[in-house]
Amino acid sequence: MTATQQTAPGGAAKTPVWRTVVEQLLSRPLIVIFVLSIVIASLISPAFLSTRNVFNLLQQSSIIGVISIGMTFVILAAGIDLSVGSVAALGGMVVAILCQDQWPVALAILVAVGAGSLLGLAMGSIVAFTKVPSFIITLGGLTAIRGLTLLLTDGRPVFGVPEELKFLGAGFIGPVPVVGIIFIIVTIVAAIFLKLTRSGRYLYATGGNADAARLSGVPVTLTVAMTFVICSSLAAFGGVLLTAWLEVGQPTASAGAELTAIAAVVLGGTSLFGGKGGVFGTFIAVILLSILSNILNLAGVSPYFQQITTGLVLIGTVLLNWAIARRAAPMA
Amino acid sequence: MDELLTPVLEARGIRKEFPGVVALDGADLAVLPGEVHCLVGQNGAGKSTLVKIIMGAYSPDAGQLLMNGREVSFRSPRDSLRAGITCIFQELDLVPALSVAENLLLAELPGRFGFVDGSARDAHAAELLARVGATFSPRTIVEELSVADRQLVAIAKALAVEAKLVLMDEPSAPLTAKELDRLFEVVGELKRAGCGVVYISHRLEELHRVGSIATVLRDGSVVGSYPLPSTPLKEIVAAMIGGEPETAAHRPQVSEAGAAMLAVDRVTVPHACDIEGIKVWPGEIVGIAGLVGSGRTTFLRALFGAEKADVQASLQGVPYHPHHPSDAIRVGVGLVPEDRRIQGLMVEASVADNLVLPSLTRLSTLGFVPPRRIVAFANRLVGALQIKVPSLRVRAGALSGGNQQRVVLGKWMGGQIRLLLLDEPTRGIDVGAKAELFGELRRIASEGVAMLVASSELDELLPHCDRILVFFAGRLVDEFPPGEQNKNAIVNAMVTGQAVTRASA
Repeated sequence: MTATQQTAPGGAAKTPVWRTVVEQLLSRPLIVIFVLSIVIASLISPAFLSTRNVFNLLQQSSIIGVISIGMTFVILAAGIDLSVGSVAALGGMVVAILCQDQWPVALAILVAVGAGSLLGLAMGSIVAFTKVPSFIITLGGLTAIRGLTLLLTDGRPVFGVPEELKFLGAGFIGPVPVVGIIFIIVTIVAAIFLKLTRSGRYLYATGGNADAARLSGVPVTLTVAMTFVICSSLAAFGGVLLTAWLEVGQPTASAGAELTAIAAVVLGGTSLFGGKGGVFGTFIAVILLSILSNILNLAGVSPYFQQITTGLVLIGTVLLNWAIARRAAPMA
Repeated sequence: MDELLTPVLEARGIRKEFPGVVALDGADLAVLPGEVHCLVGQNGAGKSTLVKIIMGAYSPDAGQLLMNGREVSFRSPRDSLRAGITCIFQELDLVPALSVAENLLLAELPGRFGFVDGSARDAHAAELLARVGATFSPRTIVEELSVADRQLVAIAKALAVEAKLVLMDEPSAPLTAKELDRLFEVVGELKRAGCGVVYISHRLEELHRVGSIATVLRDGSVVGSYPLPSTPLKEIVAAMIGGEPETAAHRPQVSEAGAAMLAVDRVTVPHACDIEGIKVWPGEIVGIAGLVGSGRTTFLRALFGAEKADVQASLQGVPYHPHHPSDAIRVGVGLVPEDRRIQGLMVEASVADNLVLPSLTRLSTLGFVPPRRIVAFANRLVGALQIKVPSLRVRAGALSGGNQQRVVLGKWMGGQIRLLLLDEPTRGIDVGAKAELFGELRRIASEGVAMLVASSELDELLPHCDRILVFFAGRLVDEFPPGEQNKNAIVNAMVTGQAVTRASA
């Protein structure tokens, strides 16, 4: 047995973790573009790399970031969730209304996130049991949940966000924005879940080949439903953070967030066919998207032009990914 | 060979390299008009690469292609199609949502002013279908056809474009015996039309039925060409593997004392199978023979908890009623499914991820699975099953057929496996690897594992199984104990569903 371990492919296991990380980075053009954009940005404006601006970027990225991490789970299982914007708005409204009614902040957040979980459970169960494409179910969810959100207050915004909640959205610990810390923690916990737990491995297997996964004893139905619960919970939590930041619950908030989140996940290298990718790429991609608009702002470019640029960068990066994948796997 | 005939297609000294592999090294091939030229060889011998070069999907690094004596060079499959080469693969190039007629005449739909003349199209299509002996209407939507009928459409399409050369890569793999007969008739029709046919199949017994000549490839080079049907199969197999095939492993005596590993009272799957009274003892390899549609696959899947079924069975005396594959896995039952790439493997995932998947529950502590444990576990299996991989992280889909099957088998070797169900375990695996696989199964069985092996290849079951059960139309119709395994009797039971007249049935 010892002899096998010395010669066998097990040698791979002894590679230090940092080398694995470096190899992973180099195989992804996203990192290169990320570094390039930082260099360009700091050339355009020396203020770019200032502590203040960096944390500012983190603050801007965090809410959509939390939503995008959830989206990564669904896409890894070969699904898609178009309802995250509506779910976020609902979460933001629920927390605002409950806080206005003098509920304890922690409890209000819990209920708001719980509402998201339930909606995710409903959509996820339908998708998992019926195998109707998640695109359709969550498209229905997008519309219906937005309607539900508007119904809560007849479309009116809710003011009167308490101090504790404001701290979560707009507060700082030292120079570091609280939402940024939350985003980083969510990413790390998600990464640990995906890479190191049994459920995480089941998620990759389900996305990679649901048939084979089921025949290997993976509870595929449960796994698929779980991804929607996670995604909707994080979306609702993102909505809570947005309310906390804006100090108002807006029923029309986060419209179109689903497209930004999907863009970030794909930009981060997660395959839309499922089974490949991870939250680390999503994290970088979200920050990259913020940097891009930051650069263009610093350069005084019109917001219309900014949209064009963001779209082109998305297409370009995905094409680069495609080209690299094609070269790496020649047909034989 | 007839000196007067110019080959429809001639390949001279074809060489093709892929990063790190020489797939073809100076391969020659000449296909005469009206000839069925069989291309045989183990997986990785270069058959598919050669075919892909002929059809223009790959360009050769060296060598020439000639059609009717003139040199040609194809940059894409479109070029070869235009030159009169048609390909019939397992994944057929048909548009499922369109009708048969539309598919047949897609390139040149009759009509004027951009409007299609529907009746002219259907009439022409019906003519083509009649030539291949198809009985369905040209208006049938392709999606509604069986695989065999779709193949007929593809062949009719070859006739429509008046193909000079037809390439067939494993056309027989998805077909039943009856459909196969029809395929061979149609191949005969192509022959009579003066068309050259290149025929690839892993089922060597087909060579004598359709082939005019067999060219054997080994490690990218042509070993030789053998006239058919005068050359015995044994000689061709020897040429393929470069030596005599391994003989069947000797069978240990199975003791029927003690509890059976598996005792099936009754397994019912509505509209698919109703099987009663099967026992399998530890260490025993039991074959299940039957035609396609006899319920073999459904029965095995039901036993594994992968079908909505009523399973009345016991494992070593303990009642066993699986509702989900995880129920089966928990008590030591494993399934090697029929279609390795679709049901057995995550082809994009690493070898290690594939190997550990069914064992994650045992490898985890409080839901966490340390990567070190995964690597150690996968390494042990790779060593035990002699899976040839450069690294545990290599994509499962990049392995050869035989090694992929070892990975699928390996998935079940990590735990306390007691009963292994195998469905067509040798499909798409070359001759040498088949013998090795059965050797491996025998070794595993000798450790007390019971096995049920379903296969449509009786010639594989006969030398390797202790007992053979015959399924017909979802029922167990006969059982052949050791010493009574008469091939004709088994085939008769498979085809007619009648038990052989003995003391009992």
